[in-house]
This record gives sequence, C-alpha cells and structure tokens, in this order.
Amino acid sequence: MGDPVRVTDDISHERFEDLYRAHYGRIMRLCRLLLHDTQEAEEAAQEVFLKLLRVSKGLTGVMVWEAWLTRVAVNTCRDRRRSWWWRSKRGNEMEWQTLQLPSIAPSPEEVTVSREQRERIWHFLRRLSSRQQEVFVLRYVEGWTGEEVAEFLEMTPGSVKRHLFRAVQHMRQALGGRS
Amino acid sequence: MNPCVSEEVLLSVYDGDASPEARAHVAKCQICTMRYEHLVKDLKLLGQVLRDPPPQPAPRPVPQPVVRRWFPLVVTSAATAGLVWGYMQWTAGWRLESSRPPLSTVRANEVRDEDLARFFSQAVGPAVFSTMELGVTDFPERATNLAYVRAALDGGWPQERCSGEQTRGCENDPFALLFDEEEH
Repeated sequence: MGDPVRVTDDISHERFEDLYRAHYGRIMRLCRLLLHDTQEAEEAAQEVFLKLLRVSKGLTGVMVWEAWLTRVAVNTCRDRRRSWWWRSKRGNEMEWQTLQLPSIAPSPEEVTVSREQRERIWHFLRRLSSRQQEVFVLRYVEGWTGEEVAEFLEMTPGSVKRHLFRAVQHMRQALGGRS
Repeated sequence: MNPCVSEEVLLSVYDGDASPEARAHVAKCQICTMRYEHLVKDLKLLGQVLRDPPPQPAPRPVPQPVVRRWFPLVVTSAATAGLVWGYMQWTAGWRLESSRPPLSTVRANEVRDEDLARFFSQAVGPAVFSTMELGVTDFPERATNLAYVRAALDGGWPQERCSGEQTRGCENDPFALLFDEEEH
C-alpha cells in the first residue's frame, strides 16, 4: 500500500506539499477516529506532519510515506491519549464538527443508514478499548492488512486477530438486528 | 455436531487467513454463506460510516457549574448593596453638613452659654441659696445683721461696733465681721 519513494536528500518543499495534500485528509480522519475529538485530531495531524518535516532530514533508503505517516499518527494519538489532560477532557462532551474529506459516492447501504444508527456506531467505537480501536480502524476503516496493522502497532498477528474479533463482535452490536 | 464455522473463522475467511477447508465450507453451506454475507455487509457498513465525518450532535445547553451560575448574581447583589450603602453614607454626610451651624453661630452660642453661666452664678445662685428671705416676719434682731443691711442699703460699711479708732480697721478688714459672727 502506498508508493515507495527513494529518499536521497531532505524532502523538498514541493515534495512535502505533495505529501501533505495527499495524506492530510486520511491522517486527519485516522486521528479523529482514535481521539474522537476534531480539534485534537487536527492538532495531532499537524504534529504528524511536523515530525515528517523534522525526521525526514535523517532518513535514507526507500520510504513508504503512507505507512510511515500512519505509524506516526497512531503513536501520536496514543501519546495524546496517555496524557492526563486528554483523559480529563475525554470525560467532557465531544464536539463533532463536519470535516471536508474526500467524499466517496454514497452507496445504497449508506443511504439507508439513519442518523441514529450512525451515532450508535460512533458511540460503540468510543466504547472499545484503545487497542481495539486502533486495530479495528486500521484494518476495516483504513484498509491495512492484518500483518501491516501488527507491524504498525508492534503486535503479533495472532494478537491482532484476537483484538479484531472482539472489536468486530462489539461493533456489530451497534447495528442491532442487522446481523 | 454442528459443522458450521464459528464467527472467528468467518472473520478469518474475510481476512483471507482461513484454512481451505473453512473456505470450502462457507462456500457450500447456505447458513454459513448467509452469515458470511451478513458479516461482510456489516463490516463494509461500519467502515463506510466511520470513514465519513461523525454526525454532529444537536446543540445542547452546556450546564454551567453552580458556582459560575451564582457568580454573576452574587457580584451584582454585592455591587448593588455597595452602591446603596455608599449613597446612604453620602446622603447622611450631606445632611449632617447641611444641619451643622456656621462657625460664627457656634461661637455666638458659646458666648451666650458663658453669659448664661455667669447669670446663674451671680444672680440666680445668691437669690436661690440666700439665707435671707425678705418675707420672713421674725427678722433676726441681731444688731450686727441689721447694721449690715442698713449699711448695705446706704452703700457703706456697718459702723455699729466700730469704735472711733477701729472705724478705719473695720472698713479695711471685712473678715473681722465674719469672725465676729462665728463668736455668736
């Protein structure tokens, strides 16, 4: 997944802008899924690209920026979730705002999903453990394979499967009588 | 024995990690095929919903803490009370200033008081506390007192007991009369 890029020198300004334009929406969405807060997700996404700008000077070899950004985004969100102020903030009511992301044409299934059901799905996602959220989002929302998820999260593939199964069982309850 | 595969195996089939036997069973078994189709549909729906922006919840009034809710009321009440108190203090001071007499009037009153005190001590005092009462019938027949009264009416000193040599001394020594009265 993603296009390998030969890094021979620092990332040029144009290359950085290309990466930002290509991946910011996805990274922002991933951070929002893991943090459940739009403002926090924006700050985390900015932090990810700031790290890209800093770290790229010392990188050599072939880099898959999409995977690198995903890994850094997961770690950044994990660090934010571990901080005490994020835990205190998590108890408050989350403010959701509409974000302009690359839209996908709505399928007939999506059209039938009611607003209540969408809220229910998001509610069930928040009730997952942090690890289950990461595994589920990376696998079934972002579309990474089980092996890639295991590599991102530094887990064994078996552990990823177990977390995935529990997460899927839990999330399917949000759909009620559909399953 | 139920030959159908478990949910975990169904998920493995979806992830491509299941064994060939499990995949073959799901392909043949109508129940497992239906379960698998349900699973795939659910996962796609979940992924689709979560890829979209989260629904914006209806705006709800944020409940303020009790302290914050009462703070403006307390501040307003305190400010109002302070203003009222200040106004009352100011009006009271203004009334006191307006009711206070001018300095010249005070001094006039003080002078008047001194005059009044002098009047009481010199005129009223002797009249009230005097031992002589003009209306008394048994006026003492004491020659000394009578002489004094007569002398006083005449505007001079009593001459009754003064001999010729003592006349000057009696005039010059009024205390001799006091001692003479004590002897009686």
